[in-house]
Amino acid sequence: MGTKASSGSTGTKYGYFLGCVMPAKMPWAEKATFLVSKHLGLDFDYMKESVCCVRPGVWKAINPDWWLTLTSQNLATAEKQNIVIVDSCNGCYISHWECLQELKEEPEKLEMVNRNLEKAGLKVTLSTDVKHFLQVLYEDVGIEKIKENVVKPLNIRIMRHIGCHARKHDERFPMYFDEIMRATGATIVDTPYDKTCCGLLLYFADPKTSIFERIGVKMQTAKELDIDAYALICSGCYDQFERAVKVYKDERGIAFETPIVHFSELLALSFGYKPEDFGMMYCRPIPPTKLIQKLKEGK
Amino acid sequence: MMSGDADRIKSWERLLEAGLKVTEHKQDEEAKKYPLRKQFRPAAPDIAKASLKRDFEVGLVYYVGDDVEQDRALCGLEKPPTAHTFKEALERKRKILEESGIMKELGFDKKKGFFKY
Amino acid sequence: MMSYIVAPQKKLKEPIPVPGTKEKVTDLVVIHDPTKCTGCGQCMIGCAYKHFRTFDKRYGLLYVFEDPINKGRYVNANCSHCVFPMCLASCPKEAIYKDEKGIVRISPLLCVGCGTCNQACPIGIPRLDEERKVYVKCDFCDGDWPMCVQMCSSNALRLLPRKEAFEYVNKLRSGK
Repeated sequence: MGTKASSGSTGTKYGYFLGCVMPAKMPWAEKATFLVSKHLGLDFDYMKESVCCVRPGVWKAINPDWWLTLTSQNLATAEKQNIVIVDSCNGCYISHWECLQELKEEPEKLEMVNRNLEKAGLKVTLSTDVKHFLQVLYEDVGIEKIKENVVKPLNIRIMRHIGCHARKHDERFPMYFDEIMRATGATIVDTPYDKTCCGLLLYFADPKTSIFERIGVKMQTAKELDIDAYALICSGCYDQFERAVKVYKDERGIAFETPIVHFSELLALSFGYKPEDFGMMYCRPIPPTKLIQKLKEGK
Repeated sequence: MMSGDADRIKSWERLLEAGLKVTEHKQDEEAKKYPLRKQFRPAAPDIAKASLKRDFEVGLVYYVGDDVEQDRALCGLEKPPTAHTFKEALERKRKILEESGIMKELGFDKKKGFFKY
Repeated sequence: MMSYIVAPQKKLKEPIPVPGTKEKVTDLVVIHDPTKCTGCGQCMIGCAYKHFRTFDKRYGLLYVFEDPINKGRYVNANCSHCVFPMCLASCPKEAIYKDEKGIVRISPLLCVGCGTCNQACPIGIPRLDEERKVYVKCDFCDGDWPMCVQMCSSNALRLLPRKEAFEYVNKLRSGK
């Protein structure tokens, strides 16, 4: 195992926000995230008592004030636990981050939110902070430290899906993603569909388009280019990928073979962890048998 | 030069076609059958009701049942420390939903667990 | 990098008078950056819910669709509340007017659903609402922070002052 980083380098207490999809559908990603963050010496733990981030796609459309109220429950809980919220799902991140920004900008909204939260014994004081997992890795830990910890460079070709909400702050997060992935030794293949949305947000409005014209083209391209893995970071996007793969199999009889892996899994593998350490082969619609085989042979 | 112009016109035509396809708006079958009936649309859209209901019942969109816990055990994890485990967080969420009048406006019947409209 | 964090103007302020006429235009316009758009469709869903209480994106009053030539790129059509609106000029029933905020609106009471505005608009924005048999178009969410901009997941839709928007779009065009 690689050179262990000195612990508590940043001095911030991080609380990892699991969200809805990750605990139920991607336990391997959860485990890998914790392996990676502990390996890098971060003060990293779960954010306890968390509820749904309240999907901005649904609630913001229904009523922005309700969305603010429900999202600030998590902010208030985080303040109580004295942690910085870390999200790896883009939807959760943007929900928390935008809520925090809006409450900071508009005191009337803060008052309204606190009036609603008071009945549940909570209060928002805006003392917490919200960070994306990419931000923690790139800004707080640093790319140099990640490079130092890579002991087993991955000799694979990947396609990546970063997600829409990660593009809200200009091109910052996509750049972090690419740099960290390159640090693991993986080769990123560019395609015209990299930017395209996964279609999760569109699924409510137009299920057919969201599956066949969003994920469909992505997975087809991956198949044509013979990619080893499809890397993503957002658990919301993973939910849609999984659903689309199932629908394709049932409705059109097309079975895709490109495994969909989480960003932190590849990071954990490059840090010298074995796929068994985080249960990489369990509970997936597309088992990454070929990928694991290739990584073993590469050694 | 001529062929370039023709290509450009063709590409514009294709763009226009794609645009026309999107802007073409057709009403529901039911509205066509009964043109004088005004459609009632509830605050909670039908398509989002299932996930909203789960959200109100569990606090998160997906359940973590025994089968999921088995999968988590394979990956070396325990029960997630979210509202699945901490029921008081769910209680707080319900209280906020109830007190701020969201449940009432969405028409969600808490006891029976369905949307009234 | 920090440009987004500085609070942008979210609501319409004073409308800008149009020289030579009595009319005024909105000081803000919604513009779309195809290099950023991911085609998530949130803008249309948000708009559809705000105006028609449904998540059916076809009810939305702005349209985002895939560019048939450059796959993976998305183009959009939205009302920019023109300085000299063609829809307003063409309406035979004078149902289209500019209100005091500079928003171009269609009065549902006067509209007869003839569709001239759709034909006159360079990008065919007004569309028929089949339930009421009148034409509908973007009303800038009554001068509030427009829902489409609020919902945009990748910051592709922006709210900019009219002059800056014009420069921004020109820059986008010359870049391609």
